[in-house]
Amino acid sequence: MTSNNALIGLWTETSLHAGAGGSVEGIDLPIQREAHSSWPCVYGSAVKGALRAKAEDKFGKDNTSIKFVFGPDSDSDSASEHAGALLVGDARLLLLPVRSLNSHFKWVTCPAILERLQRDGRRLGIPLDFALPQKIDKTKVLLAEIDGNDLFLEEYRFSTEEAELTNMVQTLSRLSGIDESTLTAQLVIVHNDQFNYLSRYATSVAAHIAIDNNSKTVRKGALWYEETLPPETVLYCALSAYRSRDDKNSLPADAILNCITQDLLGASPYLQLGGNETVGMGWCKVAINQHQQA
Amino acid sequence: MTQTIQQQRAAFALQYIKALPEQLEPDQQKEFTRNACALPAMVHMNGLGQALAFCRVKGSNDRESYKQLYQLVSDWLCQPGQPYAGKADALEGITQMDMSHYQLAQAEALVLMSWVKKFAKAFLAEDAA
Repeated sequence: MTSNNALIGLWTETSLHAGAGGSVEGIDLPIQREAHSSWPCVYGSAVKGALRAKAEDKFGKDNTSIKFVFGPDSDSDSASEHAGALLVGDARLLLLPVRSLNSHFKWVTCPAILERLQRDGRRLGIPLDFALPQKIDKTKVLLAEIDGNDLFLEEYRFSTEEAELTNMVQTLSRLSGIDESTLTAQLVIVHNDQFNYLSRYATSVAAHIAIDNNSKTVRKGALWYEETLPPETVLYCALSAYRSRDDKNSLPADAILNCITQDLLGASPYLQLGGNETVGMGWCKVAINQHQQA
Repeated sequence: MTQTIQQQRAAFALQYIKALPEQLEPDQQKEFTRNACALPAMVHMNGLGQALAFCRVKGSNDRESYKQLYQLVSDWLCQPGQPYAGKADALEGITQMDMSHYQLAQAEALVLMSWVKKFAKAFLAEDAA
């Protein structure tokens, strides 16, 4: 079966809370993470749900294309007839914004993240042509341009090393929608272990309370700590489209993918992901990277 | 007897928390639990050094609950096998040792605190909800 694929870049413009439910750890409401790496992510089911919600808002719940693309409504009697023709992967972390004591914030990534991005590209037939960085010392960071000063990320000091990142910056710019010149100035590559540490502890955690409306004081026991991915985080997500599985009015794979990349996201390239929508969270700018396959 | 590191953390926290009612008044116990619940977020937001220094400052003004919380975390981090083994207290370790020990200590303090939070809620005087 032939498929048409796309990688969509998700650049968060507001905080994003894709929640993992309750936690027995220190933070009451943590974000979704991959179990083996603990890198933040947004599960594919959440991304698919967000795409479907946007599509239903735009085209109406009964639109037939929505049924082909996402599958029949799970509340309807026809839910078991066929699956959707669109495969939505987890939104994976690409660039983590980290505060820096001595500069504008930095977009931090690591060799393991970049290597996985290339593997995803190969699987989807979307070429991502750049050289992976050489081994990095744990106390060092790679930058496209260095100014002779050490770099502080959070409260940690790193020595800097210049690296040729032109191709990588071009690819990441295309994928994320961030300007090449901006990325050149702000992209930082750290050792995998340092990235792991930053991706655990450089997320934002905010205390939330509920106010008793009569007394205007905090309700007893209503204090919780909620973790979010900060604005400016960059994630990416794999989309694969197959011919629709409804055997009567079949749509080919390219038409299925176009439903998303052109009809849904073409005119307004934004997607609201994760929780707390009514307080402005979860708005992502979408960039589409497509490679047509035979 | 071999124990996992999680069992060792739990045993340490349990022993410490169970001894607290002899040293803290009920009001101080409630305050301890509140502070224990807030500490992981404080470490996450400000780093281990700032968070522990905050507890140390509060504790020096005769706030027994902060003193005990600081002591608990500090004692654990200075246990044999822990990042600040052999140091007199955690602030000494934080200020004298390198970045990788600091990062280990922060991660260790946070996993210890998940036990402390639970045991404090289970064994100390509670706020009426």
